[in-house]
Amino acid sequence: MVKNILMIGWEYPPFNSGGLGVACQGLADSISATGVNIVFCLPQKIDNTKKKKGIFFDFLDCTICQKKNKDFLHTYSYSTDSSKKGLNKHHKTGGTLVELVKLYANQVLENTKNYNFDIIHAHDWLTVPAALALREKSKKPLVLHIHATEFDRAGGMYSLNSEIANIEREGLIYADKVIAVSHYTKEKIINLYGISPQKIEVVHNGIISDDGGFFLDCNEGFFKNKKVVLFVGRLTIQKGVDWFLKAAKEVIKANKDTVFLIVGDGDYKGKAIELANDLGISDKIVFTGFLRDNELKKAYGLANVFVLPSVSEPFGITALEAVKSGLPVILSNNSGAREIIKGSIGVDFWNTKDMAEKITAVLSYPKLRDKLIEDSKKDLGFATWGRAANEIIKIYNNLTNG
Amino acid sequence: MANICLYLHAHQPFRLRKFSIFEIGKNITHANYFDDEINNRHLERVIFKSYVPTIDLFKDLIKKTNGEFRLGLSISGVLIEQFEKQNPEVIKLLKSLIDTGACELIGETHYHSLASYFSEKEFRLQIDMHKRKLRKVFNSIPKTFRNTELLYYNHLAPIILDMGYKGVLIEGADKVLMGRSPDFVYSAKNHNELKLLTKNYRLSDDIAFRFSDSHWEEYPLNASKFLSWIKSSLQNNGSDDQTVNIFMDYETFGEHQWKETGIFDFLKTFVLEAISQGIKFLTPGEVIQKNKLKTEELDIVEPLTWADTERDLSAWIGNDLQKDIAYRLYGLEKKVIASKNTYIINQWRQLQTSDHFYYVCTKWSNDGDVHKYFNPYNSPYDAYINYMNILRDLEFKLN
Repeated sequence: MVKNILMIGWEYPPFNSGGLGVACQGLADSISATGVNIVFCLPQKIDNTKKKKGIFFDFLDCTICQKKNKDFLHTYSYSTDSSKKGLNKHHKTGGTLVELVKLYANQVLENTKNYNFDIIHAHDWLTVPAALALREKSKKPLVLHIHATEFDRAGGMYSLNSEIANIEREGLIYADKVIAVSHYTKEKIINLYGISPQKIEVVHNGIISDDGGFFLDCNEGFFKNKKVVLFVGRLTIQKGVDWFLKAAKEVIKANKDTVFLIVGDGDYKGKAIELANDLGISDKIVFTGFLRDNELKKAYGLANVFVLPSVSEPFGITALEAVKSGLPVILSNNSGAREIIKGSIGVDFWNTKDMAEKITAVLSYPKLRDKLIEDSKKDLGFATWGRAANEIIKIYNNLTNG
Repeated sequence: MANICLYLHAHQPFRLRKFSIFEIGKNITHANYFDDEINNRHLERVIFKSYVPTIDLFKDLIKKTNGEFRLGLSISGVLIEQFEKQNPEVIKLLKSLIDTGACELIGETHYHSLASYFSEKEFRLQIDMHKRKLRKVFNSIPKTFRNTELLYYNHLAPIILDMGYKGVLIEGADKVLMGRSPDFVYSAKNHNELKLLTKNYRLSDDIAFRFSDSHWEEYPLNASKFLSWIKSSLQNNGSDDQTVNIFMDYETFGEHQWKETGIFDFLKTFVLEAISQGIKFLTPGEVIQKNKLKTEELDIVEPLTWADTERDLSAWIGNDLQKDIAYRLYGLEKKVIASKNTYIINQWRQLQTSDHFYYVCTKWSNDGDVHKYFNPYNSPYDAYINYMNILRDLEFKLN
């Protein structure tokens, strides 16, 4: 039986820019709840981390970025302009992301000398250099958990960053086991990197279940008597917000009382606002910026339907949050979440007319709305972190038993 | 010895075209709800893979056995219409099969609808339409009835009798047989003159669903194995009043089970071996004729069908979405008839074809796989949206 795990991460709530941090917390909490000890390495100090029994945080200090700088994570982890992402020096920290990732590797190697662990569990390409160095030195098996591939982040083959893709590839090749967050992602790993299907296990994400509800009743001011269509995600090419806006135009044409709530931040934001303007629908679009906790719950509470229009979405935790808030959901066919939320309507992100029709149908047909809510709630039963933890512990034990 | 009654059911719906929610009420005078191109393409494929080769095989078997091989066949009215429009050659071929005298045509509702559950008036009218179609096209008057999806319950017995039928084909479900064998003839509750032929679902489904399933422990199935199962199904080694009812979709041959699975060879060998062993083939009407005297009654209170493990209507009107569209559709009856617009009336009836409701079924597990196979939509929700859009458009036209 595996007792001690060394996890290598990059972000962690409340200091996260998106789903990676949320997933790491869900996994660490639920794995430690089974009695396994975790040392969790992160590149910088994060205050206010929820302390859980069995998890010890080792905050390393990447010397290039000396300040506890919120911007550091946001800008570095996810840049839309992927082709330049690894190459440009960051104006605040003075290093490129790839340099930083390599520096992090040295720090991890240096700081984990005194830890005793059976398995290394690393999350995404950002931790690959660290994980490979540690594997080499410690001779312990490495589990590489893929929450997103470079293909997903870049929104396609043509804009992907080859330096990052190479790091990702190296990690996938040398890892002893790969965990993918969906079958969709597993297929990507097989097809893009030629990794053997036998080496990859699919473990779907969960949703934090100790938190009573995700919904705050809220129907006030501007939103009163309006149908609200909700988007939650980083504003990047990957998340398909441009397609969403084009669909919005069609919906609004047929129903003037519909408004679109766009929650999230990112470097596509300026362009998104511009696009809404060009489409002549800016009076029906509300950009809230990045929201968390009660603010986010209010957004879910305001909405009548949730749409995940992603170009490529390895999982899509926001879809689970929406279901938990009692919303009917329309999900990109290119998403992992659709594999577990069968009570959802699928849509091709590029087919904006179809997306508009489906949004309009969910808003117009109450029986359809009720049925989607009823069916998707049932699917949520599968989406627990406890289930994910059990599947992962099985993988750990298989690795150490030979 | 004993008998085998082989009965096949042929049907293709008029599939709906994609109808946008933004199109509702836009085209008042004329809007076609059906996708002629897809329907034609689909029909041609099934004609080529299943309908024609199976007719050829049947005619060949009838000739080889001097008419000892016999069977029952039902063809939905909407399928006959599609043959007439798209490929009248198939009608000629079917005629030549009927003319052998070894193939009995079975009556049903013209539109392959569940009207019997929603409107007696529609039910009677559609039975009559189908009857007239059979007479006109095949010069044949049906004496045996099968309702859409083998839907049957006590309530329907007097209506079916009144429409001129002597017997009904139904599902030999455990819940109505309650331990009795499906291989005997039964009669309707309080109506001994209406005979019920119960499908032997185990043996029927061995061919229809399991034949090419390589995970099945009996795979591969061959004719002698299947014949031995038929014999062991019979009581006291068989008697002349026992008939094993093998009922299934016509499309089992060549479409659900492809030619490459060996289904045609299986059918041929099975028929010839059975006859050589003294087993007789009878048409449904002949089975009824032989059992005119008093038979045991089956008390069927709740609607019984041949679908899924439940054997009820849940595959078509099981969830709230299906109930919504079904009641909405049949709720339009008075308005539609009052419009006296034959185009609208026909469209409304084509929308009654049970397949449209089947596509909206949300049973995921077990039977879900079978559902998926037959479903042209990505999800039941998509099917519901498209159907609702059309229904709303139809309502718009009526107002």
